[in-house]
Amino acid sequence: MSRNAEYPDIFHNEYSKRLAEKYGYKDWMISRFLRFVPNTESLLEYIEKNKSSYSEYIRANSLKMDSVSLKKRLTEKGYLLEETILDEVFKIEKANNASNSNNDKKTNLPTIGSTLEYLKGYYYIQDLSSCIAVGELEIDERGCTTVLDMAASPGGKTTFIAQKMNNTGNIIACEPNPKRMTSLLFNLSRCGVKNTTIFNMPGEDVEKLGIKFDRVLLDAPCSCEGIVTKDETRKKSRNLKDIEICSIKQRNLIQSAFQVLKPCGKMVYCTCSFAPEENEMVVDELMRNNKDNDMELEPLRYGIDGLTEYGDRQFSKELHHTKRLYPHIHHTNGFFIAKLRKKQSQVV
Amino acid sequence: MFKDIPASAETVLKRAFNNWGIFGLYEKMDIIVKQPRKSNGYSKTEKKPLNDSDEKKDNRDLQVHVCSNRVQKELAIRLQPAHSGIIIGQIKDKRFLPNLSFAELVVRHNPKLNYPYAVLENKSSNLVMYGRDIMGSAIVDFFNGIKENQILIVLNQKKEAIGIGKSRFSGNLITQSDKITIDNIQDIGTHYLKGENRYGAFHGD
Ligand SMILES: C[S@@+](CC[C@H](N)C(=O)[O-])C[C@H]1O[C@@H](n2cnc3c(N)ncnc32)[C@H](O)[C@@H]1O
Repeated sequence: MSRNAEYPDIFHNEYSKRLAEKYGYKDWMISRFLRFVPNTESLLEYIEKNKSSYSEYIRANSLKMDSVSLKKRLTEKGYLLEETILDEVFKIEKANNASNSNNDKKTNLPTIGSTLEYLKGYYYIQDLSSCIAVGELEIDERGCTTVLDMAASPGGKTTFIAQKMNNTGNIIACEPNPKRMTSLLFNLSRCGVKNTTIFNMPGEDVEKLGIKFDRVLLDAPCSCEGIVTKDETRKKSRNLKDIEICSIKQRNLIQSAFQVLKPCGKMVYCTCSFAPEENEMVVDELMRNNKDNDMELEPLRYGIDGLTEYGDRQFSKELHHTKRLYPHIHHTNGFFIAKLRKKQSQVV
Repeated sequence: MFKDIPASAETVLKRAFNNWGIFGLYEKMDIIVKQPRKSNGYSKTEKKPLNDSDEKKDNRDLQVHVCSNRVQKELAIRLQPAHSGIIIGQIKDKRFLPNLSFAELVVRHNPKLNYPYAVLENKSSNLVMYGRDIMGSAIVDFFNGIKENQILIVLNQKKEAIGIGKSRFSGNLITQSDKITIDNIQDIGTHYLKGENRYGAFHGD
């Protein structure tokens, strides 16, 4: 074992070098993956095999069409829809979505992103992992009147939240990047979302609005390692500094998010990154800094347990309640989800 | 700047709801208006009108937003966000110019089809969805009282709104086979896809 030339803190060995070379990654990434990704080589193999025909999922938008009618309609058109663990979500069979051109050569079907049903907003193309994260917010139409989506664009999760609220109550969505605003507006409008107010501002500033929330979703800006199946450039385009920068931003955002949560409110923190610095470490630090001791992690249904240690860092034992999703195990993007609850403050 | 709908604009909008056969819906809606954005940048702060006459000028061109409830409406007026609710059209020079979201409201709440519409056969629907004008031969059904230069909703055979058009002819003349008889004002493909800015965004987020 020797030190990585670029990052002396990271040890690599012949095995990591061989994998990096074989699959076209930066060596430091593989050395890290080997420390926490279960069966790393099968992840790399999976990504390689599926990069041009990865699992694609759609979520029925019940604001416009229920999932049974959607399935019937798309099946009649020739698409193959497979049920998933979530009622609203279907996996689109590969045969019909493999092409990147407007028409699939094999079947002559339009790609799933250019059908009339898509334009009408009857469904949203959304990874199962994202849908699971929103599901964990436990939104019900009656109980949740005010929901914050702290990093919203392009609106995949906002539109799902709106659907869970049946377009009632209030969603506040933050997006600081004006260039990403257009796609957010497009998706909200296409999906018929009415109950959302968008602020063109960083999530860190949300306290200034003076609103407290029943639910908060922080789908944090991240290094996006977990979408490497869909975007191969991620194999080489990032460095450790990027992860560090993301991690700092995420720690600030999660702090602000918890601040605006009502007592008994719930918050989901998620990323599409594998990096512990962007996941468990962010949540662990929030818990450590929580002097009021009014926070607890809640168990989640899907995925494998989050890390309780990384390198020489020990995290709170509660961190095993967080979950990790992996492409080669769960057939989703690489994803991390944590669910926090703010306890009712103790009245003395 | 978001604000309550001014009285003059409200009259225009109520008349439009009435004309499209969905008047009953109007009272149930929480509506706010905003001047449409000139450029594509949603700015954080917008100038307030300086005086009454400026305000009147502002009211000549308003984007109409429907909110989900009173709280949302009040929030938009108080905090002036970048966006709120769903845009259903524009009030310009005392006329209401509906968009596809409005057309969807009409289709959903006025099943008797007593409003200006044209139903297209399947193949033409696909072309119209992406910007083509409409040939008379493509029309398989239409609103009998259609007038020249009238705004109408373009439907596919499943009676779903796929566009908004403007008639070039009245009555039966709209089906003349060798001519464009309806101009495509807004179609579902360009309406939505022009906004589908994939800037750094992946399907699947
Ligand atoms: C992972 S994406 C969100 C995806 C979105 N939630 C969805 O499901 O479609 C992260 C978003 O956070 C935005 N962002 C970056 N910095 C931010 C900040 N300081 N506060 C809030 N959002 C931020 C990015 O522009 C990006 O649109």
